[in-house]
Amino acid sequence: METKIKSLFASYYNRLEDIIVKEINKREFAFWEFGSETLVRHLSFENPLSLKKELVKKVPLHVYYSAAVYEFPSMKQMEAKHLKYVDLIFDIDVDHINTECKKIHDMWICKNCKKISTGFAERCDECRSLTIDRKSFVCNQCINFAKEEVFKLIDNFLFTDFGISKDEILIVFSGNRGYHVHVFNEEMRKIDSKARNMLVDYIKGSSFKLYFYDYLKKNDYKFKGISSFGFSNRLSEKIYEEINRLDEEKLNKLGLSEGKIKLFLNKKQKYLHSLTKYKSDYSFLKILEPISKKLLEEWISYITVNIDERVTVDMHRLIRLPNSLHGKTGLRVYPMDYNDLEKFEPYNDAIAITKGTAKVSFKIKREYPKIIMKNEEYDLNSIEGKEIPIYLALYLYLNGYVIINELFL
Amino acid sequence: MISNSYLLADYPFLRNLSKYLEEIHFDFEEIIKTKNQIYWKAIERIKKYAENEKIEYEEDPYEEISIFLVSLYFASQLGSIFIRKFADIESKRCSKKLNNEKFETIIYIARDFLSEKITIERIKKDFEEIQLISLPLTEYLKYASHFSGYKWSLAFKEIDKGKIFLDVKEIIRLIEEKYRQWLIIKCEELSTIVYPEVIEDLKDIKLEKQGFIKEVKYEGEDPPCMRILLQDLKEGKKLSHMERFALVTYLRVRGWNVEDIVNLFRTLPDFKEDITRYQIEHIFGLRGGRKVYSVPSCLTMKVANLCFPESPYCDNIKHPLQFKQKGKRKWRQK
Repeated sequence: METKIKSLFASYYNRLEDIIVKEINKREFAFWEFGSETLVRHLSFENPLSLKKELVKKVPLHVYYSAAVYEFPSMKQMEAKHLKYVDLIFDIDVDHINTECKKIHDMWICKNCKKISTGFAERCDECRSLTIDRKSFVCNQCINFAKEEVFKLIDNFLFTDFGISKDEILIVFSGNRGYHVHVFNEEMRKIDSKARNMLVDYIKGSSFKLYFYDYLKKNDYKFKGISSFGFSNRLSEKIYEEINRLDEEKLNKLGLSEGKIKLFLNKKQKYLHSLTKYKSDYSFLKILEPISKKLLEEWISYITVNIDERVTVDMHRLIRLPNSLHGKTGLRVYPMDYNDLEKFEPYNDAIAITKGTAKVSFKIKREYPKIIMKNEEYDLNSIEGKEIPIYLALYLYLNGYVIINELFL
Repeated sequence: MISNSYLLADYPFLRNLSKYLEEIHFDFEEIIKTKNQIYWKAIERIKKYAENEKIEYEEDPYEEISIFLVSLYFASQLGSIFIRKFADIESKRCSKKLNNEKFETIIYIARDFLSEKITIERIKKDFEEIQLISLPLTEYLKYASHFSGYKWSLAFKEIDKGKIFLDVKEIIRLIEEKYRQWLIIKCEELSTIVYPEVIEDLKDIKLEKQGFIKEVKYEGEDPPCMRILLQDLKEGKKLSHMERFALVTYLRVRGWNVEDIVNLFRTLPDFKEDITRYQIEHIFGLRGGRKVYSVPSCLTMKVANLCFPESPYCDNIKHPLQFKQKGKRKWRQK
């Protein structure tokens, strides 16, 4: 079966015309070949044509290139490569986001106490162990949620805060669970790992979540409000919106005592007015105790983006090559401009191999979600034995869900 | 404006230094060859850095600038630990001076040294005019990423269109950090130029207590966060409170004793044995509340800007002590 799939990948690479890599001759490339256990690193190519030739010859399962631009990209020692600068890359992966639909299609097994459960989990809810085995699935809802996060990252952080322009970014659908955002701004490309860490901390709101209460206590519960710029502006706007919605019924539901509800509602307008200012009064958080911490965390999560920090901070990171195929889905690693993101449909636009059908059977019997591909909805629980499009079969096979019984090319 | 030789004597990193040196016909080779008064005053000053003695700065700008430049060269010949100590003392002196300057002078220096793009913005907020200093965000990141403390993290600041708004104290702190880094870079550049006759005069100069690194063997490898901290320490880089704390807790678990760690910290530019020993003993649970402190988690390290995950060995670990030996983990496909 692998040979047949490899030939499908080969015909894709034969047809491939758009290889979009800035400064291609200064990047490191890496191939993960079919049937291989290791990644072949330190490859370099003079131009898109020589890369294409190698893709057609080797037909790799996965193709990566370096976010870094090196003087000598093919040297084996990192120091010998002589790093010049590094594109700033953000990775949004639905794996890290707790979407509602995960309750339906994700499951996990605790390696420690063997508990099996469904949904998203950081650790086992029984024995608190962190060593859990996740069996996740990416449905249309998941991937759309990832797109929302990309918009939040680009509109609020990259454009508004960092002053990056539209032509300095490239958005890439990773081909599986999310998106990569490449930033080519000259100044940003020069910043080091420590500086990138600060950006990650800001976008994820990590320090803020930990220290905001400390800050408020030290500053008499005063913090910047809607009239300010950046993080504080968005946070206070969100809090304004949420506080405005809080009424007796909601506060009751949240478990706040009657006395506190009364006190809060009496002062609500005053708090709302204060939030519109530059220096705002956040003492409502004191009244909302003990639920304030949970509420604040929730409000912060609306304005922050759960990016994978390892991708941004690692200066030698390898990232998927735009327009290559993702070896775990068969989908195209799809690059696009900001203006195309809104209309982009991963399970439609990123389908690269279309000719053929297949019959499959599932390796593990469990509840699978519905999936929409090429505008057609498939109930995965009833596809066994039926002839399904090649792209759906490849998606399920490469992801390890099914075995392909018959292939009709 | 204020660009005169007095200002240069206090802030020798200003751009018109080279013009001034041209004007006074400063000849470094000549100073080395003749070993004049400037030369010996610079030697004396270098001894004071080494012995933690108070430095007396000259009032005459010509003399001060000359002695400073010759000292800078001498420092460059004495190795990275000395260089960092020199950079630390000089950059702190600079910020102390800046704190006593007028607002206009500080902004002039900041524009000259930190970024030409610094602007002063007066904005009306809540019916009163406030004054904000704006700096390109990337410049801020270069220097503030070396600081500890949440007040430097971006979420507590105001950012707009690639600019960050700061107060004058913060600008001074950034100048101090840039100057510290500038001195280290200058020394590194100068270190390759060697005059044998100078080496002879510097041979007796040693730091009060030279640090030495004791290698303690243990199974496994250090996670990148701790490896970088150890490397920084070996090179005599200045570590923040959090960096020192994390490293001590880690080395304790790795089997180091108090004495070994005290000796390791001798390389730090601001090393003070009694304070260091007390703090290490505190972490070991031998002082104060007798609590033994554990190694910070990956989350705490991240928030403190001390986490530098290296793919793929840091994937899926939540604590530096979970870091496994290289090669035991598979490359993670994203």
